This record gives sequence, structure tokens and C-alpha cells, in this order.
Amino acid sequence: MAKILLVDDDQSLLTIFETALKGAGYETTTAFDGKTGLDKAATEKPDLILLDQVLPDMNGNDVLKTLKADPNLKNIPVSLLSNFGQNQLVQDALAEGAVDYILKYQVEPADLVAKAAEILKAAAPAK
Amino acid sequence: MIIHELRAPLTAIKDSSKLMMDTSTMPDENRKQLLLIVHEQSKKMLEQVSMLLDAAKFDAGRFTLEKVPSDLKKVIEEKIQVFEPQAQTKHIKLISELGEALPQIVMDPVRIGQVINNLLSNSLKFTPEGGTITVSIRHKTLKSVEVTVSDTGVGIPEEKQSSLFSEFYEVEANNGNHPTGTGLGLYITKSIIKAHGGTISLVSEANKGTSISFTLPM
Repeated sequence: MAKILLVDDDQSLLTIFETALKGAGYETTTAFDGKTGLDKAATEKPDLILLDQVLPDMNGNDVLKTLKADPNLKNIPVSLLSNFGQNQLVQDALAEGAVDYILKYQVEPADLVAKAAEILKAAAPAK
Repeated sequence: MIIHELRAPLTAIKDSSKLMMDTSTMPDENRKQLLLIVHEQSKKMLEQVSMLLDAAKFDAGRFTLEKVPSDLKKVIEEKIQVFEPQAQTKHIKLISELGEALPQIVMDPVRIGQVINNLLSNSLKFTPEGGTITVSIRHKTLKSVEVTVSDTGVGIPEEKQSSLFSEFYEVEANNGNHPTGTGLGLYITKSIIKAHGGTISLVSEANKGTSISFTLPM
């Protein structure tokens, strides 16, 4: 089953998202800040990255930029998952190559699982 | 940011409870974890709403203190104890230099406790691992005491210091990232001290640390 990397400094929300995704059979790994997120992306090669916008050390969009600039990591689909949904942040994220920008307060755990499935299906190589 | 500070705990409460409702076969341990999240985030929301109400009362000139003769040292010691576990987790030394016994001071002990809480909370937020936070009391004049909370944290750039005690003003956490918090803590702190007839002041240098001092009349 696919592996999902969650990058968020909010431990409570990480616990909730992990519970939902693991319950759906996904493998998960987590990072509390941008640097650890980038390290884990490189070492664990997840199939999908769900990335918060407000991290202790950098913006989610900056993490995204770094991922997309790395030839080994640029093809991992990344969706922002944040309570910050200002237009400019969303536009910048999508311009940098994010596949989606999910607002945490608008989705429930089951919706997040469905979104993850949708993104992974779209990213799977055509048979 | 204040919207974010309210949305984040509400999102956690909403999602925890939905997960528990939707998953009938959840192991007890997971359920306990989610219930703990609901409890802790509810407490966080209560604190945020209380701060908003306090700020509104100050703005409307309707804030009242319940002053009684109180032991200032004891109020501070109790708050330091509350923050000890957090400080230990971050390997931050929390030092108290509270001196000899003080005569009782006529003050609102709950509100002064809130001031100490705000100052310690900020220092912990902005002091990296291995740093130091010191709380001290001294006689400023024959008729006033001064309490200082100093840290070896990231400090506040000079150009931002004059706005620090303004309502809804937030200092960026680090690396110029989005500010965190409601921006009300120091505004309420200043308002409480002023209501006591005291003064509040700040000394800070970027990358060296911050000291915030307030006085209380004796």
C-alpha cells in the first residue's frame, strides 16, 4: 500500500490524519518541520506528501519549491494541507507544482482519505 | 492569525470526534488518544476565547480587578512549576531569583498569574533548546517591586519593539515565517499591569534575548 508523508507541526492533527490514513490501509510517516520533511522525503521516498503551510522553520510553499527543484523528488505528488487558504498562498502553491491545496477546516478525515486516494490514482503510471 | 488560532483547535475537535463516530472498531488506545485531543484542544479554545473577551473588556473600559493582599512570590512560584515540564522537554533552564519574603501586595492574584503565564509562555516559545529563562523580583523603589522575565531567546528586532504591546500585534516565530498566536497576550499583560498602577518595559536584542519587566505598587 502507498506511503504518505505528513508534514505538520500540530501533533493533534497529525495523530488524527495518521489514524484516518492508517485505518484506510496506508503506511504513514511524519515530520514536524520543513527540514525534517525534506530529509524524510529524500530517505523514505513517499508516494504522496501532505504538507502544512505554517511550519516552525519555513513555509510549506518553500518546502514545495525545494522538493520540485530536486530531480529525485520532483515527481512525488504534493498537496498542501493547511488552515491558511489566502489566495496568494494557494496560487503560489499550485504554480510551484502542488497537485491540490486542501483546507483542513473544510474536510473531514474520510474526505482526506478520499483525496489521498484520488491523488495517488492520478499519479499512478498508466497501464 | 487569530482566525487560525481558533480554527486549528476546532478542526482537531471536529475531526477527532468524527473519526470516533465513523470507526466502530477503533482500538481503545486510539480512542483514548483522540479523546485526549478533544479535551486538550477544547481547553486551548477556552483560553483563546477568554483572551478575546478580556481584550474586548479592556477596549470597552469594563475590565475590573479583584484586588486582595497576596503573596507575589507564591503566585510566581506556582506559575514556574506549571512551566517546568515544558522547559525540561525543550532542555531550557528555568531559574527563579525571587529573593527574600515580600510583604503582601494588594493585587489581583489571578490576573498577575495570567501576566506571568503570558511572559513565560512567550519566552518558552521564542527560546531555542538549551537556553535559559530567569524570573526575578527586586525592590524597584521603597513603594514598588519589579518582576522581570528574561530569556536567551531569538530577541525582537528594534523596529518591532515599539508595537509589541499593541493589540493583535504578533512577532514572527522565526525565519520570517508566519506569526503564531492571537497577538493579544502582551496587550492584555500591559493592560493588567496598567490597571494595577504599574509600568511595563522591554529590553531586547535580536539573537541575544529579551527581558520584560513590570512593576507593582506596594
